[in-house]
Amino acid sequence: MLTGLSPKIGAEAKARLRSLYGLDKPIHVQYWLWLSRIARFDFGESFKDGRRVIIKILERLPATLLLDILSLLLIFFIALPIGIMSAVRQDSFFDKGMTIFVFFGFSVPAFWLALLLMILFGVFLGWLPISGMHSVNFPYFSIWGKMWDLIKHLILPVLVTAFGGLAYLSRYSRASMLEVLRQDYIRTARAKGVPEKKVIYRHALRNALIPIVTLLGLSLPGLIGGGIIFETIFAWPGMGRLSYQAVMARDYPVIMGVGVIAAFLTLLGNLIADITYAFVDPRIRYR
Amino acid sequence: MEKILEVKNLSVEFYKGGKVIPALRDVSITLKENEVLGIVGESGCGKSTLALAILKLIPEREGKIVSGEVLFKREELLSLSDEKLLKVRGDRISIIFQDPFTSLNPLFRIGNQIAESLALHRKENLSTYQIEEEIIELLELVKMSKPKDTMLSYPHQLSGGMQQRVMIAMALSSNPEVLIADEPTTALDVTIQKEILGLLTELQKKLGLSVVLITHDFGIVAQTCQRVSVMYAGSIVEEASTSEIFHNPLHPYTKGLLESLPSREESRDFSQGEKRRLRAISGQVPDPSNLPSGCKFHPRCPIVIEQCKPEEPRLREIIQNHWVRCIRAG
Amino acid sequence: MWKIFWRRFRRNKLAMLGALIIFSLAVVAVIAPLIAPFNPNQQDILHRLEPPSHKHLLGTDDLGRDLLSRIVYGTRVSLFVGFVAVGIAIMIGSLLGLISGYFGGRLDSLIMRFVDIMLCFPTFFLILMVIAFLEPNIWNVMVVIGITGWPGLTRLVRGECLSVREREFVQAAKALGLSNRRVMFVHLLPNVMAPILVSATLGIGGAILTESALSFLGLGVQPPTPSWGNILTAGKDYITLAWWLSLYPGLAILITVLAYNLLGEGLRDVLDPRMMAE
Repeated sequence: MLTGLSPKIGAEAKARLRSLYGLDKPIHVQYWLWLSRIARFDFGESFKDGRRVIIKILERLPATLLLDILSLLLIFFIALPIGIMSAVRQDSFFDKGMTIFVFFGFSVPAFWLALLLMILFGVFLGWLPISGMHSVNFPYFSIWGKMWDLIKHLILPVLVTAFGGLAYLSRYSRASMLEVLRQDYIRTARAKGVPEKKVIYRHALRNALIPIVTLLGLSLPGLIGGGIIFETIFAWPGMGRLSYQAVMARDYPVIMGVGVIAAFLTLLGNLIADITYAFVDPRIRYR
Repeated sequence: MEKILEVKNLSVEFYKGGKVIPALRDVSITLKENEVLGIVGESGCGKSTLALAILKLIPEREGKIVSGEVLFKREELLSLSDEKLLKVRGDRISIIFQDPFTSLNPLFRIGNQIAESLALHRKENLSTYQIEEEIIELLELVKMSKPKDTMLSYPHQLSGGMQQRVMIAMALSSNPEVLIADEPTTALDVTIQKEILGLLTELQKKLGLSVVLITHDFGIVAQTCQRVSVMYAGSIVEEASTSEIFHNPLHPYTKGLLESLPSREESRDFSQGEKRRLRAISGQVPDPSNLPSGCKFHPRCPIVIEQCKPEEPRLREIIQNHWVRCIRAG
Repeated sequence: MWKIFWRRFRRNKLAMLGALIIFSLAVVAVIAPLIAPFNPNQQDILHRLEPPSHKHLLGTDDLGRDLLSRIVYGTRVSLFVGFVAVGIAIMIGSLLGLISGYFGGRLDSLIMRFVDIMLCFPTFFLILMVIAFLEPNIWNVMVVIGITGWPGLTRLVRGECLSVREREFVQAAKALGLSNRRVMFVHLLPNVMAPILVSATLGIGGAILTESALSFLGLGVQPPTPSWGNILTAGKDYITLAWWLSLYPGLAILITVLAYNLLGEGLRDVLDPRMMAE
């Protein structure tokens, strides 16, 4: 593989590369070395520009996190009410309408939506910028100007990133709420004379929220994956874009590095989900 | 004694998979003050539906009360506004259900759940301390051994018997006049069943409650009820005092039910302790969406005749205070 | 039993709609050369980036190729990838799921551990990484999507197996001394078929979305072979000049995936355990 990259390299240079990368050591030693490096987040240097991979990743991480967290918030605050409302007013106009909307949401290729929104708001209407995180004259803006500029650049990417999750979570929360509303304890609450509004918001909602909240932690991997596409389209300087560029350039250390980080974040998300679940459900807490 | 709760010609329909299922057909029952009325029947006969319908607890999507009245001390309940109905539910008429575990909200502590009832129905503004006192009193009333601990527990930490006691405590927190108990012991162990039934009987006498006890077990009826209504396929087929029913059952279905009980020494002396084979009623309970014509019991009836098939018999008072829905009775 | 299925299926309007659309698309894919007005690869630089007109109903792309024709041929790619990728996922997934669910014990734990590990990675990311190591072409794409898709299916199948395994007829079959293989495939499998079918249908929609995303990024089907995804790449590059390049291919994806989702959800309703009750 290495020699495939630079076919003109001489035999001596090849030998040097081999010893430099430890390829002349036995395979299990290599694996162990690699593993111990990974544990320390030492991913080596990028093939492209020689800088340390971990540095490159850390530079981009905040931008990605900003995007992902805002998307999560958007998803949560919109999808949840929609789902709950759909469940409470099952089979109503609202519910049926939302179901259709969600169906489309599941079928639309998000990157296409991104393109369409860019065309509409960026090209035809010219309201929003379509690439990058900052405008060219960003450093000259006042503090408010800077914030507003950032917001303008965030709107489209966040909307698009949140889109798929919106459909999914509203469906999920609807299902969860419906499940809860069928339970006996809801019937007991009504039998006790609890007003309907309270039945829904105090008794039902809290129970329905449990699986939903854990879902948030589990959404992290999805956002990371989607980030690759969206960050590339919007030229957003985040981890996703870095991955894409690395893949195109066959910059393997970077790819590996981002892969490990991605897996790590996924596990972190799972862990957060589990902890949240234990926190919120007394049945788990007091076994 | 005065009539405290009267159900008149109640009919309820359910919707399932596009089909209309008549769950209750022209059902009438009467509960007198300080009395325990038993509603007996097999699964699917509509007795639980009756309980829910009285308090309008049937979800709109699932079913509808098609006709009939429910009179509570001469006030008609089904036509009440939602607001007024809330003052009756859990306040004047309380209901406890079959499975106490699923009937309690798993996320709230017991004390919290009982306090909710108190806050809803007690007129006076109680301080936190007073509420706590009340809760402990209530838990002691239902014979809980460690009221303070129970108050702080979550439902899943309690045993079935304890959970049902909590349900009873919640139901009684408002000093209701009527208690509807829908198979309160069916989900419990046999030994606990006896305790809970004993508790209910004791509380009924002590507090002067009027109780509707729904069950499929005639043995329970024998021990606790003064009057019995027997239900089959969504309607009442026989109604009489408990001793009448046991000594002189008139409807073939009732007779069949009684005969299928294994004989026990403690039950009222309808069996003289003789050994006999267990007898079952032949056939099966009809599918509610596909009821037979005429008398709903006729396909399984040992004394069926041609006239049973075309038209459903009416309830007739054969002996004083003993009503039967059978053309061959009396 | 099939007659009941058919009758219920016909009653479900959405499922019928989905099936109809898919059928039409399949027809389009097969007779593509007959419908497409132009050769999809025929370049005409003089007429590049032209908006929709009488001659080119959907416009032309950056090399002057007719968009409509390219989209028509793109149908072939999408349906092909969808079927093969999901086919692979089903084969691996159901096999492992059956084994896991039927035998239980250590084999089960081992397989499920493996599933858990695979589910550790964000799927799309995993696909990306794998493609990066391999060469991007249609075959690799199909295989990779299939390989990342099986864990979910395994879990599903295993779950179904566990519940069906305890039912009498399985016990009866084993008591009769039928070989494990026979019990698994002849008795267990047909009952587990329903959720597999639903999952597969919805999975095809998902596979098409994934393939188009990959092609869009340049890591899937390579030009000049037209894939709806790689046409959209041009759409992005010429976003300010040619909106039609962005609109129409995406619309095609939308309709196709929607059809599969409708069919899948419809199947789910139709194949509900209610079928047993009826």
